[in-house]
Amino acid sequence: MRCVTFLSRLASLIPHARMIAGGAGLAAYQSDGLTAFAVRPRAVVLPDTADEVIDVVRLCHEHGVPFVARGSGTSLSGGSVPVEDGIVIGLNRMDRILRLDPDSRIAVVEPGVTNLAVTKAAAPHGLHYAPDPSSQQVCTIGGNVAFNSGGAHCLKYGMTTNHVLGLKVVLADGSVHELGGASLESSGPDLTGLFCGSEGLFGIALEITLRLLPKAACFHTVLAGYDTLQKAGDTVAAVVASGLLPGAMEIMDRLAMDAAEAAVSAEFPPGSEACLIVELEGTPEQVAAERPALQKILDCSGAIQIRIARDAVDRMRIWKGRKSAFSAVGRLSPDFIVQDGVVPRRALGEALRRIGESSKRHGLRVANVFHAGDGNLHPLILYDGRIAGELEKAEELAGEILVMCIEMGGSITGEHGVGLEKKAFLPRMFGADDIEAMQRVRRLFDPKEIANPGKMFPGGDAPAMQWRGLHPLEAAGVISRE
Amino acid sequence: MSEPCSAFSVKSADDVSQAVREGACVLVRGGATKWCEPPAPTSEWSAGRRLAPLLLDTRQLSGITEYEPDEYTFTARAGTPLKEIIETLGREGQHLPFDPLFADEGATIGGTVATAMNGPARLRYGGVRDFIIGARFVDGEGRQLHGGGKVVKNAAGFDFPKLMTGSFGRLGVLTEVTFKVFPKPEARMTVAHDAGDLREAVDLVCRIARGPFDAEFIELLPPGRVIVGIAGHAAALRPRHDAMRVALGIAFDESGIPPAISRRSIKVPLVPSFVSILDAKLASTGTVRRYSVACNAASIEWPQDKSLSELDALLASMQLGGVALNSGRIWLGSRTGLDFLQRVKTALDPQNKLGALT
Repeated sequence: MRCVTFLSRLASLIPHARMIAGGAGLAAYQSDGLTAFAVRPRAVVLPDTADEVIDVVRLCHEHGVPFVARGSGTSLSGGSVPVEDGIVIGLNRMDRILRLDPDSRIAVVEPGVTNLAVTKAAAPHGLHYAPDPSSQQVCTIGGNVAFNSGGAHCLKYGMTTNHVLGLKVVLADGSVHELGGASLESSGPDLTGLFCGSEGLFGIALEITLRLLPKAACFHTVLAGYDTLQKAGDTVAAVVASGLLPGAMEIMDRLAMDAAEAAVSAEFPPGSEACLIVELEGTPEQVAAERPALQKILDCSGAIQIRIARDAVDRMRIWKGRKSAFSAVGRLSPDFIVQDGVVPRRALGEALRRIGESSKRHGLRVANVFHAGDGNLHPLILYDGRIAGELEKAEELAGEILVMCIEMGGSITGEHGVGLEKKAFLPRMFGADDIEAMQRVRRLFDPKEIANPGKMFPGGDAPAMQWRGLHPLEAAGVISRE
Repeated sequence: MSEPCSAFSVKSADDVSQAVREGACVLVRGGATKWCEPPAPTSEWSAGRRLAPLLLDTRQLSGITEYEPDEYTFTARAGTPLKEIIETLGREGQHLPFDPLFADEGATIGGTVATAMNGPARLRYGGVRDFIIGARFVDGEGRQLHGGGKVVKNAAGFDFPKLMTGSFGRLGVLTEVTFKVFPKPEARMTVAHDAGDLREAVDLVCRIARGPFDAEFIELLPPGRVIVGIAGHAAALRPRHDAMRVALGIAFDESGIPPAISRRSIKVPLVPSFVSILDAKLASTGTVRRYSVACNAASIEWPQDKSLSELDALLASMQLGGVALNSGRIWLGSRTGLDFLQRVKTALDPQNKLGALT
């Protein structure tokens, strides 16, 4: 009876055409980028306006029905996997850029706007939105805010939270709040910062004020090949020690390069075991002054080959090779898990050596692609879910890597969030009192614990893992797990 | 005003916990450069609770505990003087890129976080909130908590370090903070242009801010003086300046650095389109004005013979907020997210021991 009442009231809030309450239509929402988990929700609603979202959240609160907000479903930590008996609030229809003010350098957007759409809208004004997760073509700003997404430029520019100035949110109890504003400066505790990365556990962002940055006038992109991963890692350390602040520093190992080369022709240095991409950016004068310093470091780094991007097209080719590595790995293996632990930069070499050992011990291949500038690893653990026990073995290996990151003084997640996947590891980073304090904050926003329950914090029922294969968008090469 | 509290010098997080557990009301003071005098004992303090309010002095809770130049990170106890941090980083060619304020006057890193006070150069890479990556603090129940971590990239758990930024000790007493740092630019150059009137000046500030010039700071001194800083490779500064001059079609004179932000200044966050409106209202009051961070913050010195209530009402009428230093009160004008904040306060300081949010 309770169920019927809830669904009929939900149907009175959202037109029939934008509500899915049964049948095959629900299947599309049962999983996200972490395809090993799947839960069929009770219903899915696709609101058009903030008011509709608020009404739905209030109804959920009244009935104690859990909800999961969802953008494009690209979370790699299972952040938008539905909750049994709960509903999914799909926000893709709320994709309006409400305001773009080049003088204030801000964009006010709805949560369903895609990451890349912001940069496209800002481009005519010479501006861009800095955070650039690899799934930026489809991932939404709402999801980026919830999980504090990163990208390849975090060392210099920070993560999503560093680019969110203000928020209008509906908390899980249905109350609506404005946090921060349109200014770079603020008064009072940083509430916007607290909301970013809260993984949907507080409520839903309805309007997001983003900071835009002037687009760099000049780039200098270098691809260097090495006969060992260690040498590539040492070069990163040398660049950092030199006082240069590149926009990006990325490393790929042989397996990742082979996969990417097969997918796109990126002209990776032949015969190398690792490659390093370093990109300087800024004013032409500054870049011109920094180039010799970088060249000197690379010349002494033992590189087998150094290739400088000839022009903008060549630069894009190098980046395409880098960004396609993840989906390309799908060609090597029917399935894979991506981890995104962080280690101090000095421990990169040691971390990679230990990942290699774990890989051998478990008999599973691991490809490494990582944001070397900020120590953010992305080991891709290849497995075949159709072989009994392989998924469990892959999960075990992934767990070993997370424990290693914590032991080295790092973090279990650099940019994907804790979600479903890593919640068992949160107590290894934080004490019981820390987690209890987070829970106290959360319960004052969500007393009934209906907003994305079962994520971030250990305990509770987790959906069973099962083999699902590649995400459909991933198989199509649209998104990648980074 | 005489200090109504007994002062207690803390040397460890345990001392802070004990003080919070035993005290009725706990206020925190580091170098006292942004000191907000505690209000006189209220009936809430004196009637409801027997213990006197306690003033925690953090200057003994001092020292850089970890510094890894190659990792771009350091960890320091809350009472560590900024000056010590700036000098230590400087020896390795690094710095805090948000121009922390009042270092020479004795400001501490904890007070810098608690007040979220940034200097002009926060324009380029961000403010305190953007560089703090970890924090240890004692909540209103005396529990020692931590959030964030010690690596430059981390998305695990709720971001308590950012929450502490600008909290003025009302949500927790900071005991240790971890920061990301950057390489220090090799050289700096400061140039200025007189745009005539305020409107022209604001327009110029916006053109520079959205252009590809990598300005480190852009300050506006009314009526029309725009001061621009660029920083980076020494050999590139002159050509960068020339390119900016040509692109903007104006001439710059080579002025010195902009005047220091006053310790009595009141920060009013705003956007460029509000500058003319606010300035018109303030001009008649005799207030010293300056528009900082590419017109994202007014930094004003309200006349001492005028009541802050007047400014409070003026800002509220424009839906602007403000943060006052050394003035007897902290927050002025309009407050966004107060109900949200009150809930956080209930979670972290249910007995309201760490001072009011008003």
